[in-house]
Amino acid sequence: MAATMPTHLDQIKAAVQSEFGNTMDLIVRTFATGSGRSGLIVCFDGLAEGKGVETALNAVTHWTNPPFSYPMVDGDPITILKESLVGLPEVKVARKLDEVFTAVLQGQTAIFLEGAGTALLADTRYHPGRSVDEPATEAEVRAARDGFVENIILNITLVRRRIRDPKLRFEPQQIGRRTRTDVALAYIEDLADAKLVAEARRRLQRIEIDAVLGTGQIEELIRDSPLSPFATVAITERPDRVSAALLEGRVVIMLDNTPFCLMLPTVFWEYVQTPGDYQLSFLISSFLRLLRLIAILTALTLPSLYVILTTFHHEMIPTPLALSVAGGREGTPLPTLLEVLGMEITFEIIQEAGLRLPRAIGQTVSIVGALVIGEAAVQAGLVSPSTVIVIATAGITGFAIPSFSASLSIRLVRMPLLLLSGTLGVFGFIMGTSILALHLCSLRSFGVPFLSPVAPLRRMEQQDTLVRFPTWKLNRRPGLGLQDRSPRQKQDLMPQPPKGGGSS
Amino acid sequence: MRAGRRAVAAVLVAAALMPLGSGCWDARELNQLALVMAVGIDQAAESGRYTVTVQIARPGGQEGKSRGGGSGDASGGEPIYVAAADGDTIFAAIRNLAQFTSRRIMWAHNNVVVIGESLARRNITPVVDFFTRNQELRMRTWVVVAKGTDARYIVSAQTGIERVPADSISALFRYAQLPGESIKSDVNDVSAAFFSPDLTPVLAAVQLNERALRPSENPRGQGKVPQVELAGIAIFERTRLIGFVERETSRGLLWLRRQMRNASLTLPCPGSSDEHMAIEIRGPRVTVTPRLVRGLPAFHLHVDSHAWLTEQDCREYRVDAVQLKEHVRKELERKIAREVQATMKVLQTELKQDAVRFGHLTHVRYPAWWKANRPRWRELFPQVPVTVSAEIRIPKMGLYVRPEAPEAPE
Repeated sequence: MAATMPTHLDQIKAAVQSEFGNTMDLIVRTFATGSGRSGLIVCFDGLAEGKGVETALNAVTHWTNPPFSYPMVDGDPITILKESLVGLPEVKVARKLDEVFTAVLQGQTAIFLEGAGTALLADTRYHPGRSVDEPATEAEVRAARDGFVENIILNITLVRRRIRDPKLRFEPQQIGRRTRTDVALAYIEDLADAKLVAEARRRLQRIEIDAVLGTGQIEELIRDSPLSPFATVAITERPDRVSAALLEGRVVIMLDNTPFCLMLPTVFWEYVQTPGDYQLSFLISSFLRLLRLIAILTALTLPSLYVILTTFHHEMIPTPLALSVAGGREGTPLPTLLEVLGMEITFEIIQEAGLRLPRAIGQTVSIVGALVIGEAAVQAGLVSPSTVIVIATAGITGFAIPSFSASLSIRLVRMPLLLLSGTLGVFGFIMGTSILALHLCSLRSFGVPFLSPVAPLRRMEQQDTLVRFPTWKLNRRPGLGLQDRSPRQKQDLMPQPPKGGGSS
Repeated sequence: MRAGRRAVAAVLVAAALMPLGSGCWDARELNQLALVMAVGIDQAAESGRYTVTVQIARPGGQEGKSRGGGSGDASGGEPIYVAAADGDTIFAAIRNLAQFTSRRIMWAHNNVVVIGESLARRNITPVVDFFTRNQELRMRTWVVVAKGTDARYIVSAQTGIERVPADSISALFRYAQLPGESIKSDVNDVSAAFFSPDLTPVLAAVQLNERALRPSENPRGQGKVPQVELAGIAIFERTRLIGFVERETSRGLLWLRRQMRNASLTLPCPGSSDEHMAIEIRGPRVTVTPRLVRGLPAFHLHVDSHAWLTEQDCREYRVDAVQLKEHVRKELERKIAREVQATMKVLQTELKQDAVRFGHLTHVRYPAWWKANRPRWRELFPQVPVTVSAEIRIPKMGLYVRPEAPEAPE
C-alpha cells in the first residue's frame, strides 16, 4: 500500500478502488472547483451525513479565488481549503492514504485536489441510532429515565452532561482489527487511581481480536478469574450509574454500537444496589438492599433446602408442615430431587422461551407455563404442590435481584448446589455453600477483593454496602481501596434545627 | 499420550459419577415415612412382653392434602392410623411394627409418650432408657401416665378437636397452665428426675372419660365418646408408680414445685362467706425456703404476685381499696395454705414420697445435714411442716371495687 499520497487524481481513484473494491455504499466522485482545478471526493453513503458533504462540496466548488491574506498558508491549496471550510466543526489534513481510508470508514469525507499531494478530511460523520430511551434491563422507579443507546458519542454526552468536570476523561481507543470499534476509557483523572487506569488501559491494549460486537468480548478478555460464574466486571446501561461509578474513582469502559458499559472494579455488594437507592430514604433503601440479599440467598438455596428437609432431615420440619408436604407428595411418581430438578429445568426453559418470543406469543407461553406446568401438573399428581411453590418462589426471588448478571450467576450455581444437596444431604449442601463462599472470597476485581469491604472487613467503609447510610454520612467514597481518600463532602451536613432555641 | 488422556478422562468421569453412585444416601421421601404422633407402651402382666401402640398421621387424611392425586385412594379418609405390636423389648416391639406397616416408622415428630398404668407400677426404667437413647426422639416430648387404663386406649382414642388426636393431647399440656391442675412433664424432666439421687419422677396423668357426644341421625342413639383428659399427677418412687395426686389436690403440688404459672382462685367476699370473687394470678414468683428447726427442716412457701380481680359478685360495697387488698391477700394466703396442706397430707401420709423436691432443696441449703440424714429422709419427710405467706399487688384496683350492677331503685 502506498505510504505517500499520489498527486494525480487518477492514481488516487485507482488506489481507492483497489482498497474498497466494488461496494454499493462507496461514493467516489470527481468535480471541478470554481477555479477549474479538478477534484475528487470520497465518502461512504450513510456513514457520512449528506448535509456535511454538501457543505464541503459547496465550499470547494465555489472556491474561485483563495484568500491569500494568510501568508503562512501560502501555496498549498489543501491547507488553504482547510482554513476556509468553516461550515464544518472539524477538518484535518491527511498526508497518507491509510489515514484517509480509516477516516472515510468512520464517516468522514475525503477531498482530493489534482496535484495537491495531501487530502482534506472533513468531519461529516453521521450518528444514526434510536433516541435515548428508558433502560430495558435496569428500570428504576425514582431515578433518571434515560438509558444509553448504541452511539458512543451520544453516550459520552449523557455522562458529560452529568459530570461537568474538566478532569473527566474519555480516552479514545480502537479495538478490533476489522471492526475498528471505538472504545472510550472513561475516568476522572484526579479521582481514579492512576495505577487502576493504567491497568485498565494495559488490559485493553492487550486485546488483539478481529471483531468486537459487544461488551461481552471485552469483558471476557479483561476480567479477573475468567472461569468464575460470578461477574467481576459490572455492566450497566444507565448513565447515572456510570456517573456514580466515575465519581467514586472507578473506571468505565464504553463501547460503540452497544448501550452497555463496563464498570471496574466491582464488588459483590453491587449485586444488591441500584441507582434508585440513593433517591429513596436511606431507611427504605437499606431495607430494600436487605430484601435483595435475602432474595439472592433464597434463590440460591431454597430448592436445595427443600430437598434436604424433605428427603433427609424430616425432623427439622414443623409437624403440620411435614404432614401437608407429605400429603401433597402422596402418589407423586418421582423422588423429590428429580421432581425439583425437573421443575427447575422446566422453569428455566419457560423463561428462555418467553424471552425471545414476540410479545403476542409470549403471553401464550406464560399461560401455558402457569397453567399447564404448574396447575395441571399438580392436578394430575405428577408433582407435589409444595415443589411448585418452592420453584416458583426461587424463580421470583431470582427476578428480584437487580443485577441481571448476578441473577444469571445465581441460576447457574443453583443447579450444582441442588445436585449436591439431593445426593449428599445437608453434608453436600454445606460442602457446596462452603466452596461457594471460599470462591467468592478468593475473587478479585482489578485488585479489589470481591467481598470487600465486608471480607476483608474494613470497619470504616461500611457506609454504603448492605446498609446505606444517610447522604450526610456518606462522607467518603466507598472503599474500593484504590483512590483519593479525601472526603467528598463537608462533614456534619445533617439537617438540624437552628441553634439557640428560637421562640418563633 | 492419547491413552494417558483417556485414562485421565475416565478417572474424571468416574469421580463425577461418584456422588450419583451412592444414590441418595439415607434419602427418605417424606411420603415413605410413617410419622408417629403418639406412642403408648404397655406391658403384659404375665408374659412381661411389651406392647407398643403407635398413632401414625396419614398425610392423605390431613387438611391441605393434594387434590385428587390421580387415583384418589391415597388421599382422604381417616387422618390417623393406629397400630400395635409386641415384643420382648420395646425396641423389638417397634421392629415388629415393620411387619405390617408399609412405611418406615419415624419418631422425630412424636408428641406424646403414654405409659400404661400397669407398666408404670412395675418399672419405667426400660421406657426412660429407650426414649433417652433413641436419637430420633426429642427430649421435649410429653410423657404421661395412663391412669386406670392401658396406654393403647389413650393412643387409639379419637379425642379432641384436632384432626390428629395426639395434637389434642399435646395441646392439653400446652394450656394446662390455665386451670393450673396438671404439670408439664417431658422426657427431659423425667430423665433428669430419674437420674438424680434426690428427685423422683413426677408425671402428668391422663385418663379416658366419656365427655363427648357423637352426633347421630338417631337422637336417642347418641353414643358417648371417650375423651382423653388430664387426671392429676402421677407420683413415682424412683422407678415405679406409687400413686396419684388427684386433680383437686394437685394445685398444692404445683405451688410447692414452683410450677404454678397461672392460677384462678375463688375467694369469699369481705364480710360475707357466701358471696364470691374470682382472683387470677399470673406469673407468680414462688420461693420455697428450708429452715432447720430443732434438727428438722421446715419449709416456707412465699408467693409474690400480681393479682387481677376478674369477677366480683359481692353485693355490698363494704371495704375500701386498701382493705380489699389486705382481704384478698389474707384469703389468698389461706387458700394457698389449704391447697398446700391438702397436697402435703397426701404426700406425707398416703404416698410417703417427696415429690416436691424438698430433699433436693435441703441438700442445696444444708449439705452437711443432708449428708447425715439422707438415709432417714423417707422417715423424716412425713414430719416436715410447711408454712405459707403471700404478697400481692392488684393493678387497676379502682375499676373493681364497686360491683357492676344496676342501681337499686330508691
